[in-house]
Amino acid sequence: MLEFLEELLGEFTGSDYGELRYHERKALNIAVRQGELEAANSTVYSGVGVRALCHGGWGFSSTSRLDRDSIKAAIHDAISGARAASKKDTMKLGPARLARGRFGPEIEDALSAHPFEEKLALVRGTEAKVRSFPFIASTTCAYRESLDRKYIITTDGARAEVTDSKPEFILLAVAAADGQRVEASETLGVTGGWSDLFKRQPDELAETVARRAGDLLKAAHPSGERAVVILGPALVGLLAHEAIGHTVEADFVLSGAVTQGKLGQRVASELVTLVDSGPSQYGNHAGGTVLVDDEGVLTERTVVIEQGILRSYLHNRETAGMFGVTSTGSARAFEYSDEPLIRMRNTYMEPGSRTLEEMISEVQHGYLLQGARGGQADANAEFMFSVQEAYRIEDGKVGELLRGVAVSGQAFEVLESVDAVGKEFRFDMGAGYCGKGQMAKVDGGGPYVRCKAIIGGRTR
Amino acid sequence: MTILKYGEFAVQKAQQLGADEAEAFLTQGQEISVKAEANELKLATTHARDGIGIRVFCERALGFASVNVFDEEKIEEAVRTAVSLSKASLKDEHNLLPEPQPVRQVAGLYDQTAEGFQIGSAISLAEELLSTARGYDPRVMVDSASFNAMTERRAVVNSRGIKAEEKENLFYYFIMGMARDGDEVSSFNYRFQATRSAGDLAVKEKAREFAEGVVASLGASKGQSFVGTVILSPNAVLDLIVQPLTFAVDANRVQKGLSRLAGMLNKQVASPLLDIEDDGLIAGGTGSASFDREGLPHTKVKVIEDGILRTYLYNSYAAHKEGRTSTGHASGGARSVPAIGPTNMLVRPGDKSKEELISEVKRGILVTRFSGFPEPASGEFSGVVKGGFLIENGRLGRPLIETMVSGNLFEMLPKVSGLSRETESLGSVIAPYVMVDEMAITGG
Repeated sequence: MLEFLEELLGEFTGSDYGELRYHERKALNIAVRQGELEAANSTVYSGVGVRALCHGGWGFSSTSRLDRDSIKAAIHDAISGARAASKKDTMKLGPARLARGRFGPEIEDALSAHPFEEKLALVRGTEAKVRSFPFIASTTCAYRESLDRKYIITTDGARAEVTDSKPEFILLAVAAADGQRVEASETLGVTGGWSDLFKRQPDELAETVARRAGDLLKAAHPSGERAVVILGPALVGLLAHEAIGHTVEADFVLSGAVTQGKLGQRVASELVTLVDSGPSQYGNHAGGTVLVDDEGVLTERTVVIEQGILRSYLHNRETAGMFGVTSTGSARAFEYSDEPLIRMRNTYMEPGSRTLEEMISEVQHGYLLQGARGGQADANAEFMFSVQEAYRIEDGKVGELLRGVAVSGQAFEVLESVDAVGKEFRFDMGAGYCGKGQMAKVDGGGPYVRCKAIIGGRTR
Repeated sequence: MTILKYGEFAVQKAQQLGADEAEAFLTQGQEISVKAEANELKLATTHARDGIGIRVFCERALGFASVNVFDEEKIEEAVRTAVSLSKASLKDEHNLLPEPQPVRQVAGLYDQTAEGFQIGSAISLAEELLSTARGYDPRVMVDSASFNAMTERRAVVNSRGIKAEEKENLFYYFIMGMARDGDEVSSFNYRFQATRSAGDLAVKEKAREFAEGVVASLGASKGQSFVGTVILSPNAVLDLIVQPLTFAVDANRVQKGLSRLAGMLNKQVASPLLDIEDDGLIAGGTGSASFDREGLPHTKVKVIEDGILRTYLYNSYAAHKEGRTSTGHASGGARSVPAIGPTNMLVRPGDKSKEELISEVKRGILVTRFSGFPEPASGEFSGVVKGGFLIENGRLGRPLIETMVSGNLFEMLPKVSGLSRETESLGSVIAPYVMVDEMAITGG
């Protein structure tokens, strides 16, 4: 396939840059809800995405037909698009470490070695286990996998064959009593094989999620206030991703994000070091792991904030050229028919030196927040996260569980307020996706972090 | 050129391979799109997309496979996969495909002008979107914007005799960004429009609304915590009321313990002021189609009538379970099995103007956008108010930041105390401003 695509590069004559990316995704989705099979879906989605640059304008086209004429036609469409969007000035792409060769995660226990029957049985069994708890009104369990093969080739020398394997396991439990309902979920997601996914056993997850739903049913709502909070790894990952990560995507910086002009300045407490990394750190299987980006650039570990100082934005080749830096390998496309955009990969805070027990014992009044349900952030870095488990902390001790908790704040103020960083580290967003016009599989995490934020309340 | 023949081929193949029942859903689309980033036109794209999804039942057990190319060899491979998954999966007595029903063609789904729509026209419209927003005030920053023109053919074939195909088109665009004044950056805001008809495009108007919105939210300050009245913009109504409600009336979710509206048919679940219907047959509606994902005609149903819950939304699977017929709400594309979804959702407007609603509020807030994740099963929500304004003694006051609003959808619906006569069309949802009493507001 690489040779075949290489022969077609000549069609880009007259453009400043051309890129061909064959991407085949084989996906499987099994979902069981209340004992009934809702999905046994196998999908193949494959084709070639073509991008051309002419005088500062980009054109993109895609085709699912793999014959020479169809790809040629797509190249010509991309070039016409680029000419139509072109400007007066020629754009110079920034330098990059172009990938040449074969890349992919090392996998010992391939997903394909486990038949559909085994996957279905596991999903059924886990779903039934959650449902066996008497207070559970509804359960959903799903297993999903994405197996990718890509060939990326560019007119300036990238030539890479890339494989990937990303499975996920999702459990949702709803407990109900007296007309009230509460939800709890547990998710796993990795880059890797079967045994990499199930580092935690499905039975244990089933018990955890069911018991949490049951406990939440008895829990009260919080009163709203600004308070000391200790964020768990999933929420630290969400903070790093949503509230900081998006504001350092270079395309967004150019649009006027709050980080514009702040490189080299202090933006957080010196306890904060924040990283977005393509390769997986702290273990090999983070869910957002990307070895080669979709411009054919080798990814790197990008230090965004180093001990409180803003050090780098996230770049593709275009913004690297504009900022006079090297691409960070952050250009990602979800499927062949999506154009590469600047996206995050694995986003996290580096661990510190404190134990969780110490951090809790020093809090007079506050909250311990764990597990994410979702998050959003704004141009001004104001964020909100929905929290799964929130406990009150009074006089240095963890107390009552609360339900329906969301936390908000201005991300940089919250990072400035960080006064303790834990030493345990965990990736905990592996089943996470980020949406920016197209999806991207990302991961995030960190240690426990203590800071100040607003808790949304139901009463005063 | 019809795409039905590929569907017929797939259904036949599935039966030959031992499937008792088989269905193929096909789409063939063309799309041109122009995208702007960081205040500048950036990218022009063209796509041709094909897709076929094959659902089979062997002894009432489900198997599904899809592939994105109309090639007999590839389709046959997908059929084999679907059949083999089905043979290894779970039997379920409700797995039956629907029988054909008369389908009447809905008018206005295809605008002939879409046919000759060129990338140059899309570029002009995208430029107009940018220049109108930027020209409104130099502080307006457009993070991203796009203009898209799509045409699509969709078809369904099943082994019980359903065979349907139609052509539709859609123009849609959005503009998103903020205002920046020195070091101060406002909240994000966005505006979008989706329409079948090129004549209905209102690019300048939407760009101006977007620009006005972001500039007005500059200078925001923190508020206080209190219990008061909230006026939700049509956009906030969409996120906080309409979307969670569509989950709550999804019959599959109702049957499986995921809705607080289970057992509430013909009971008062909301203020008598609230009236919501779902109508998939509106001529030219962006949520309209002559048939649903399973090939059954869409219908018009009253979901909430004067605050009383009248129906849930069904596809054939959920309908079979209750021994009734589908309401024609099978939704989804070629890459997954049919789900249940709304078509065009219409929230009935009230008889007061937005200004009159504001004038009735002693102490409260106006919410332009809600940032949060309402839990569909419980109705719980807690999120951040975006583009929020304080309302005191009937007057709109200063813009707010770091303000949260929390509650439960099902406890909130009975507290709806007013609706505006102005409505906004948000894709396939049309909604007015909605006023709700006794909401918990947390200030930073």
